[in-house]
Amino acid sequence: MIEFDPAVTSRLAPRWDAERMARNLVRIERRLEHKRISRPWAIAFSVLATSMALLGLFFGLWPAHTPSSGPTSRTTPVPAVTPHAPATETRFGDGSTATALTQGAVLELRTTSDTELVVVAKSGSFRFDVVPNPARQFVVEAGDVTVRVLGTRFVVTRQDARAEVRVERGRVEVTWPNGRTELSVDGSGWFPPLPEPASSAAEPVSSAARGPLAVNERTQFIELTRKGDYQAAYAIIDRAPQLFVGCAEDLMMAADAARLSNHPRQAVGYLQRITKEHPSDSRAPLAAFTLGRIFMSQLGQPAAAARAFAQVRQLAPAGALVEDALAREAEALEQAGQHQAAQRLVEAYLKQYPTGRRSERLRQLVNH
Amino acid sequence: MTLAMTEPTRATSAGRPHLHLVGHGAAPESATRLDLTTVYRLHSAYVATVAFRLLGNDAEVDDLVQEVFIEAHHGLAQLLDPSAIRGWLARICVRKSVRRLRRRRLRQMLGLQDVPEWQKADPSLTPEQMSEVKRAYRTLARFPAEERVIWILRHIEGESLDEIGRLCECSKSTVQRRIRSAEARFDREVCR
Repeated sequence: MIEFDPAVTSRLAPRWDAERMARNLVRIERRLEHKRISRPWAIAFSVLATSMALLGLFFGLWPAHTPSSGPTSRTTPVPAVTPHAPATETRFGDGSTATALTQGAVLELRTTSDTELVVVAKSGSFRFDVVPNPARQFVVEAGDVTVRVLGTRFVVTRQDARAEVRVERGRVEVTWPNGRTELSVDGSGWFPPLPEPASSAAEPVSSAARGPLAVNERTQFIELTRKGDYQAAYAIIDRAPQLFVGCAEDLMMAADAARLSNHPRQAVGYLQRITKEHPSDSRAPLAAFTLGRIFMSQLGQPAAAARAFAQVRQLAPAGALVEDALAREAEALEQAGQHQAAQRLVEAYLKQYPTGRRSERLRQLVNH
Repeated sequence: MTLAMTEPTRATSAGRPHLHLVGHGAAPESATRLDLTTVYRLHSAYVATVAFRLLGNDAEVDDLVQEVFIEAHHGLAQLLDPSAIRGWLARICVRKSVRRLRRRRLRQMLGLQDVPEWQKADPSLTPEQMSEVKRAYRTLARFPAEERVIWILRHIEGESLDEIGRLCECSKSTVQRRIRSAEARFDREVCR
């Protein structure tokens, strides 16, 4: 009998990146909209389709299933261990665990031997709970930072080449190119440490300025967001906005917390930071799209919404959100009173997507 | 033995996130859409992984994920316990996978479709691991849909019997009976 090795089963996962997520979300919304429009006909059609399918099956004409979408040709390498969703736990052979605390956190197994196990935190935040084993060192690499441990629990949050290490139990050694330190229970810090600022006014949002309280609050925010307690999560970022030094995933979480706790204006700020500071990140088009929807439906600012939808097209000209963004931009411009600009976009939409799902609505918009 | 084979890791569903749905009653249309987007953002990767493992075919994952969230969309407003959303999505995914697998098996029995070869999802798998996975999925392709799903939930997802019962919406004794049957079938097929 085949016994699957957990090392193998953990890799049995599809590549599920932001682009594929966005593409499928768009298709879901289309299918939902299509269902809403065609509901009166749905029953009659399904009866007809079932009859035809049964006939087809009977006569051996059932077509082989052709999925509406397949994997894209993009060749982003899939990491060795990829916890895709928050709180996904990776369990190692000796019972040690790594729990992803942020969405999109990626962990890779680099080397393993009788004396050493090395994992690489490629992005995001992880809690490591290491089973004591004096004969074998557990090593976490995160950018320029290396954490060595013999048996403890600690959190590593990767941010570009730097990493935050917070020890919850036991003791760890943290090394970086020109330095080392040891951290014990409740010890934490960002490494490599930044040089001391020349004056006290320098860089108020620098991660180096975070004290232990801020570090704990940030972890607490991540956990509250993961649990879906957006009100409590937003209370933290409202109290300490400097906790978010700016990686796209952090900003997206902050935007979610703000948006879902009924603070759309604050969500706008975070989403705009994603589009400005991380325009090449795969989350940027979705951030711009969300921005447009907030301006349009929650803040009643159609002109700003139009600019945000236009940005979706600039950020990902061939992305999954482009068709919707173009249509929504036209609608937003019409609402903003810019009829000629709206008409031009409607024409562009109808030329590009003559049978697009929004084509009928847009025709009515310009003929109105 | 390869590196990956000697260092077992396992992705589990431990610590499932809780989700508080917001905005119900205030603005039904926008609230539902907002919630669906959030639920999708938080859970689509998990659903995609379950779908991939059950179907063993990456090309069908997108369709299945879409179907799961479309059904979820209709049920979100009735969901009384938001913290149960992940398990609920998994149940929908399992139910829809079983239907797909039944159709696939029927087409295979009628000679209308070949057994789909398991598709490589991770270039870090070694040739030995690839071969092991392909062999298992080739064997599973001959299983009744329910037994295949239960076998995968048990041996790949690593779920408990109780959890499998919840996911497959059947009793623990049914799960045990199907697992015994699936394991015996697996042994027979592999030894053949």
